[in-house]
Amino acid sequence: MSNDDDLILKVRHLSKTFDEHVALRDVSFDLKRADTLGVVGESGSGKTTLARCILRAIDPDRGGTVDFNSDQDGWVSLSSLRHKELVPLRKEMQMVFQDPYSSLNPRMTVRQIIEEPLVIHDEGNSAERLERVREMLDLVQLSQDSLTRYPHAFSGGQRQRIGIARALILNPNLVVCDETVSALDVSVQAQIINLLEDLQKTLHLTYIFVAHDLAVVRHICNNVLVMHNGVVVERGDVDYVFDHPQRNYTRLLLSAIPSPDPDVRMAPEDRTILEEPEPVANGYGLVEGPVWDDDYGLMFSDVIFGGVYSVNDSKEVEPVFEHRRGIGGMALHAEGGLVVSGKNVSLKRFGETKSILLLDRDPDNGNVGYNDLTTDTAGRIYVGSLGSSPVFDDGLEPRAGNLYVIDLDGRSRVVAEDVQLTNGLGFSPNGRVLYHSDSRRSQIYRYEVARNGDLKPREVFHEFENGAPDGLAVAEDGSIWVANAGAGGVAVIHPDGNQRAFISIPVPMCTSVCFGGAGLRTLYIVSGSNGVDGDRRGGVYRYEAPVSGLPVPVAKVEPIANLSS
Amino acid sequence: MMSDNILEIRNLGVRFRTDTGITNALNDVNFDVPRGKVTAIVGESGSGKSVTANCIMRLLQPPGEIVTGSIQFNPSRTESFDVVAIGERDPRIYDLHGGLISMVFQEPMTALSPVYRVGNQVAEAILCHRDVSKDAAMVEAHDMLRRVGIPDIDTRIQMYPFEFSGGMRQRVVIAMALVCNPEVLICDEPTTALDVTIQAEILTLIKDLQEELSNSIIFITHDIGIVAQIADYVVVMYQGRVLEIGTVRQVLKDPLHPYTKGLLAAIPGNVPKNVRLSTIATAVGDADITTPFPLKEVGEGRLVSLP
Ligand SMILES: Nc1ncnc2c1ncn2[C@@H]1O[C@H](COP(=O)(O)OP(=O)(O)OP(=O)(O)O)[C@@H](O)[C@H]1O
Ligand SMILES: Nc1ncnc2c1ncn2[C@@H]1O[C@H](COP(=O)(O)OP(=O)(O)OP(=O)(O)O)[C@@H](O)[C@H]1O
Ligand SMILES: [Mg+2]
Ligand SMILES: [Mg+2]
Repeated sequence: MSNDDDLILKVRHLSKTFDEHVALRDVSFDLKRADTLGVVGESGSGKTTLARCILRAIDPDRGGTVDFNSDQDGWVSLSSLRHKELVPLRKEMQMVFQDPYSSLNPRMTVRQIIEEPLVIHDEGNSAERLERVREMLDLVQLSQDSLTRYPHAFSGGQRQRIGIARALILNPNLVVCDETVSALDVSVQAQIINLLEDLQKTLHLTYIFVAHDLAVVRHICNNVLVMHNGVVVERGDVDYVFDHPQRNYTRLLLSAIPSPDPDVRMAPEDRTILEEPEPVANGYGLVEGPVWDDDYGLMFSDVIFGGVYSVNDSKEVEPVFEHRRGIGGMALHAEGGLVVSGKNVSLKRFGETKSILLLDRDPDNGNVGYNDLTTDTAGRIYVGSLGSSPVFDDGLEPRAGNLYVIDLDGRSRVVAEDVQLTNGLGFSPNGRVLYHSDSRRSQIYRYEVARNGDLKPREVFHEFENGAPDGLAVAEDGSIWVANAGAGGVAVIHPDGNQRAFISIPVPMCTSVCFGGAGLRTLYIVSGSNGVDGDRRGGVYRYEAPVSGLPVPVAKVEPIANLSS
Repeated sequence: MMSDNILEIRNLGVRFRTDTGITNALNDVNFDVPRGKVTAIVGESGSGKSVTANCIMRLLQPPGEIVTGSIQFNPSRTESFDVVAIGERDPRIYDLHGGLISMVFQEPMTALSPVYRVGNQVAEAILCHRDVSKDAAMVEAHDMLRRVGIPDIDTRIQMYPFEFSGGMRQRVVIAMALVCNPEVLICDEPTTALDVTIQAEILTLIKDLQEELSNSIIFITHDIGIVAQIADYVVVMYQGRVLEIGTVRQVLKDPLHPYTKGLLAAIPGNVPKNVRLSTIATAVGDADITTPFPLKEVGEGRLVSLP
């Protein structure tokens, strides 16, 4: 394979198990000659284990391969050679360690330390070796009178230079730096980083650079592997990965770096929110109105192609109702059935075809219908109307909608006005605050709720920079889980208004969420296809949340009229 | 009237007399610690940060000795006094260690005993300093552990430190440091031994607790990122001297001393990729950073050691 010539390393399916513990799981990557590959991840994520398996300082599990493009023999399989056969190749691969204090033998002089690899590989006579050591001292900018001194006489940065000189004296091609600059303060760190970069240019070195300081990695690496629990969770061009992290874990790491700019506030994400959502149903147009029922499982509607479906734990989907298109919101009703919103708000009892009208189209408002709804603990329904909706592209002047409450006696009233594009609704745990998404304005409103169900004037609770807020659900701890339409996931907002985490799904159009499953610990996330005809990228995902959702809202509103279906 | 500064350090000089000679670890150190704020002391290894903290706590051990200066301490609970001037047996030393000032170190196990349960250790810290019943102390310990974010406290309170992760241990140490509601909390590199993600949690915790309890904090670190995130005021030290003092924005956004400029230029995140990092030496260039010019005031609370 001729295009392999510019590669120096090919790693395939590398794993390492210590006793029962899997420290490294199925890692594969290519490394180009003269590149610098960063390996990042928190403590225990497997960075050192990966480095040691590559260099065969430890033996990886069977099945994984490491191929190395050596000067001496061309491509060789490091993972299958016997230890004796590896010895000559070791000259081409070296490691520089983290701790400048414990990695140097305190009883050896600097000359002995730097010279030792030559002695081990039986290279040159004493005079030639001394000459090489002197060259190395110049290279790492240590004075020649260091030769006869012992490590304790050097500062941390100087000791790290001694370690580098020792690693480079055999003219390696591949150098693994395991946290080489982590223990040093910025001034010394800068000297060592510059030195490594200079040496790379003059000696055409390839580096694998293990570090937990992402700013350092970004500075000196071209590519990066992000490791978590022994798995490479993300990799690629370092700038791209850091600017567009796809995985929650990468985001978590990036959010944890304290910025040296006091105006850029550190907002570490919640580390419990790490697992990826799992797809449970797909092939729908625009999925909306998710609602959990202990018997039916998760119910959801397809706004574009119509119908209400349920999906159970085994991912089996059943139709619940044949229904027209355009159901935007659903909630359980105490009498057994679903309150659905669309052109109007109505109650559909399970097993019946008739609908019972709860709230008709509001003629004064010229609205095209209603969207998300929720209930308070008393059982009143809160539902927003779509003015003239930009979503349906109906050619009308965009016109604001209202927020209505349907009281227990079936009478309704407007409780808030001027909602540009009404979406998710949810109450705080004590029921005294109502959160409400306005997708057009990219804002979530916060209303204080009066005893009779009226709302005090709203305030803006959170504003989105990317995408818009869509459906939302509130957890027991008061956190607000909001589908972030356009941004491809769910934002977790704390009651203080700050975003604490983000859960990605594989499609950009995330439309709504609800809690369900045992203990309401599963977050169901639904998605849509941007309304493009025939596009069926809408689906349902589930995700094990670190908190339980609030109890599923149940409407107790008295129906006032009958509608034929 | 109570001074706005909880600590006022003047002309502090410390030297170490060893076999190999005399090290002047601190030379004419002057700075104030404003009440209810976070003051960061930043500087490279060996610049005198920890020695300064030890002087404030009266924990400096021989061969180190304070040769000049004063540390005026203005607690709200008791009379002001000069920490340097009081004698070894003065009861105020006991007050100092007994809750007026607490310290959190880099390595949490230096403050924890491996053989006692976590809950008992926190309760013990309360009993040492205050006259409350054992049960009351245990209730308070529980409450403080909850505040520092220990999950599942009823189980955890019965566990030993080795059963905790590094981040959890540091939370326990912070809980112990806070149970006596100290007027000053000194944190000497409390996150250096921790992972970035855990570090972020601990920094957030310290900041949140400070806002809640409004105690005065001295935060020692060589990480400018941490300074930027946690400090209100910054003291830059170099070779046992104070080079620059100001608010965090003044010092990090508009550094006046060439050494501070060098320190900021050496941070990888502050430099475009493929551009060589400046080391402090290159950034400082010909500027004179070794002559000990006295601090001069160049603005309100803004001091710099320049001719
Ligand atoms: N020799 C060993 N025996 C048993 N377990 C090991 C051994 N070496 C590593 N492990 C385990 O493997 C996992 C990965 O460890 P590794 O040292 O690779 O992590 P790391 O990412 O380098 O962490 P750090 O940033 O702390 O250096 C850890 O859970 C560790 O405890
Ligand atoms: N026990 C000691 N004996 C001799 N010299 C000491 C002793 N302790 C500290 N020093 C000297 O005092 C000076 C200041 O040390 P200090 O520990 O305050 O540095 P620091 O700024 O805290 O550094 P670091 O960031 O490495 O903790 C150093 O020059 C150090 O060598
Ligand atoms: Mg490691
Ligand atoms: Mg120190």
